[in-house]
Amino acid sequence: MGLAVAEAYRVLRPGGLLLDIHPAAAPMRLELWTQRDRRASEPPADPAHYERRPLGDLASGSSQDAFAAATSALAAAVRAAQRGFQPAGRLEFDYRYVFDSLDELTGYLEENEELGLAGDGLLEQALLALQSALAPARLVLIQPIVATGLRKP
Amino acid sequence: MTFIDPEDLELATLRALTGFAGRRVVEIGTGDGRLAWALAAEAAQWLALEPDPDELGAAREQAANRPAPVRLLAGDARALALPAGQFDLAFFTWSLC
Repeated sequence: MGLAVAEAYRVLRPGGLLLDIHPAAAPMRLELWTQRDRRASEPPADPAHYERRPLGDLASGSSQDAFAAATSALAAAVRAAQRGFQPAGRLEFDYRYVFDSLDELTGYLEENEELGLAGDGLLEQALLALQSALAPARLVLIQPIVATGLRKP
Repeated sequence: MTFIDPEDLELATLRALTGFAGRRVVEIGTGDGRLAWALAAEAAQWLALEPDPDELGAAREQAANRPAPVRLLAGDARALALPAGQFDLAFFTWSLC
């Protein structure tokens, strides 16, 4: 990983930018999104059209360790006494994966080898929340993402 | 499963950190090219590297239908021995983890 950053430094011109995007080390969160307008014929794409209810966090797994290591590699690239990068901005946002049913959610997690991160209690809570929703509702998996810019002096 | 990003948060975030217009970009770990297709049209040059044959195949399949000029290469930056000091932007897309 450090070698990749060093290689980026080599191929960049002076003043060039290393731009990185990867998930933050924070665990993924599960929310129930309930439509504000229950008469809408199609599920709205705009998150503002939903009531959001947090259901809980997924456990941390080996992926979180890899994400944390990527963040550490960028920090190390700034700390390097020679050939170091200069910080040029850091922003965070969320990826939002939307599921119409618990089966769809668990299928996605299983496909990505992350089903073990969602405990039985969280999945049961998600099912109950879906079943008791008073308007069309969906399960939304939130993954925090961090984007970082590092400038070559 | 649906991926919701109606505000184009991802692209807006990247553009808030840097401009892509006229830049010579090397993207390390382009995957299926999702971000390359969205941004490369603005750049002067976009070299996309991907070591995974399946992902690279998916990117090549899509390339035919995309107007953005993206040069797709198998491998990573180290193996290709790219020339020093030739790029304005080195873009890591999930490839440091």
